[in-house]
Amino acid sequence: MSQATERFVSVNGSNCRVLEKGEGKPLVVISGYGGLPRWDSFHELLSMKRKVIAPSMPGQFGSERGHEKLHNPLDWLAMMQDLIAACGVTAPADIVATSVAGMVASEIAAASSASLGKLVLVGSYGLYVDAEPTVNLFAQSPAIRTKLMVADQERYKAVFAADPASPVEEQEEWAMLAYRCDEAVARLVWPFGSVGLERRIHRITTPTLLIWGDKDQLVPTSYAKRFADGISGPTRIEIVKDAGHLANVDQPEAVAKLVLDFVG
Amino acid sequence: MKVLFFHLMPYGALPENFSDNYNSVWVDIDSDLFKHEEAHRMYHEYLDQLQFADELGFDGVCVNEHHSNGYALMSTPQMMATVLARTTSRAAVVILGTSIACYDPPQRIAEDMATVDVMSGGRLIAGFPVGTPFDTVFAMGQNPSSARDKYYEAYEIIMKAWKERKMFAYNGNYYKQPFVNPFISPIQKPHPPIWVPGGGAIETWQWAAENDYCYTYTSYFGYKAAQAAVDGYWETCARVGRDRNPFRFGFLQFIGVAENKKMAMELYREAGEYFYDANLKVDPRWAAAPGYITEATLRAKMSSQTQRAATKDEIRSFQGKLSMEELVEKGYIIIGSPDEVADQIKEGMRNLNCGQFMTLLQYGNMKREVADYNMEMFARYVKPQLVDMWEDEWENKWWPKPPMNREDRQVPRTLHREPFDMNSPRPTAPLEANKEAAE
Repeated sequence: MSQATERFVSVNGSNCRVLEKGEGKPLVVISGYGGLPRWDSFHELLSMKRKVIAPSMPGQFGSERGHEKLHNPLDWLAMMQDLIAACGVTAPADIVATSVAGMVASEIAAASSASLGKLVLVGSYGLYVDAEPTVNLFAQSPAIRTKLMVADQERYKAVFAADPASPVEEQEEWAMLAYRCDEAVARLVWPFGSVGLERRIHRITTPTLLIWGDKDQLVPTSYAKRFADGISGPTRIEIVKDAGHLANVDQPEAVAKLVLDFVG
Repeated sequence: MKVLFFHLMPYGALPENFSDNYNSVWVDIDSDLFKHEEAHRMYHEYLDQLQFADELGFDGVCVNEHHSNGYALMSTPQMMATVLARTTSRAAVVILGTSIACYDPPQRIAEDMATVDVMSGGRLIAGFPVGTPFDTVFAMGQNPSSARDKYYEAYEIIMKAWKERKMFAYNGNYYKQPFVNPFISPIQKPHPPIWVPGGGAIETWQWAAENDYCYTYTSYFGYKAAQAAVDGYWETCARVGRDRNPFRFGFLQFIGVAENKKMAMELYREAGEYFYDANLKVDPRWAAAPGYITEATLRAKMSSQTQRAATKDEIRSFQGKLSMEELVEKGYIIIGSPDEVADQIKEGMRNLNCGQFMTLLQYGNMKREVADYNMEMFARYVKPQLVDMWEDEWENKWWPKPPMNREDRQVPRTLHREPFDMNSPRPTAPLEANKEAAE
């Protein structure tokens, strides 16, 4: 797998890293928990058909801090629109968003469906139902967090773990970046209750594909239907077998195929 | 040196083998374990002890804030401080502290603390901690990434209310309040001394030093384990251009005094082991949240060998099962005869350069009689050996200066009269009182 190209764009005064690869129509891919520490199989597979543009939100892996300037869902929405525009992507944009990033992508769609072409949400946060709450990853035992993110721990390591052969200082730096990434995400979703999307979701008219891992332990699989029920535009639900919360990490081939079939 | 009496108000009736059978004493503690009659007794017993500390001549009595916590029963320290403002007469009333970022709006804290200051005749010390992830992030649900910034805003509102004492509008990122009117303001001017309790975050050292406040390290792990962190604080003071005045630093220490060490070990073993086993049995998932510790502090902790070692020891004790011998050997609890205890404290506080020394003399499930004995032994035979320390060399700028003389302060009138008798003669209208007021 050859490397993606890396560049930086400025959003609200902080430099955000953008990984890019492929030709053709742009496909924006935004990662949730863990960010995108390194180019992985999922992105590689997508880049065979589309020009994949994968920006890291402020604070996420590779980006400078900047999340501390964001105080509410509207700030995050505006930041994300700025980030996508700074990447050179013009409307209508096709967006794939996983995990907590799905929360921001949903807000963009609810605020301005016309700015999007097609939307893919993978294990998305954003809704919250008392009877079946989404899980606060950071309130779980550190020992089990990686298992809650990705069912297959080897695949988790391949994307998220520091290179064990690298010098200790590099591994510590990697840990710092991961910590910053967690902070950015925590800032967005804490305290994991409703952010009000349920009052806006009907405004989404964008054709939306909802992909969930059948073993998602953080956002229950039933949330795929909750999203589908709320969204006014055409929706399709795909449950991926043997996949956890980050279904794209557990089953990159299956998820990439579903995405490409949907966005074209 | 100032010698203060600190109380955690621990829930002392956890079941035996709590640490084996329950997940955590904090945040998700099993609420069925709260027995109301036991808690009733504890609140009264603990308030009695704080009042006794005042009688015994401790310079200050300290209360604090914790939530969903089996070792600390004070949810809002202002409540206890209000009781103490009325039932003590000499000691400083030290709220150490209030998690101000958990209150909305923080004007409530400005008012509550001003009330305590007015009621006590100007004896309040106001402590403002950022708090722990256990309380602030998990039990109270605050965002770990913004908790510190929110704290700074809450602090700004409180200080503006106390210093300016006129109505103002506050427009922050976390708090917006168009009419903050500090009608109830502190009797101490410009405001009560500010202490900043911390757990080793370098931003807190920096902030306390820059603002010229007293920083307190309220660790449960004794003077030996604290050395590295406290050195870091003093280095920060030096960098910021502050002197080494020991009174700009406070430290908390567990202590057990008896006639001799053997007797002390016997007397305090149960309470000590109970605290460090049951009371500190916590689930590590509540100990940290992303962003709560800043990147800078995390880097500092990573790069310091001594801090890493101290953290390892703390983690071990959080897993429980340290014997009394280990607790004493590590300095978590200072145990011995009055002279032995005084010598260790003097040495320890000289090394830490500490001028505001806070004692923890009741801990765990310590019985009332044992706590009373510990307090009395300490006050009569240890404290006199400590009080002269630093006093000739340094001025304590972080201590209340009550504007009212002690004899001018009000006390509960029940202290000075016979209990009311319903069969006493029918009262006559006090018309004279109105006349006197008019004159």
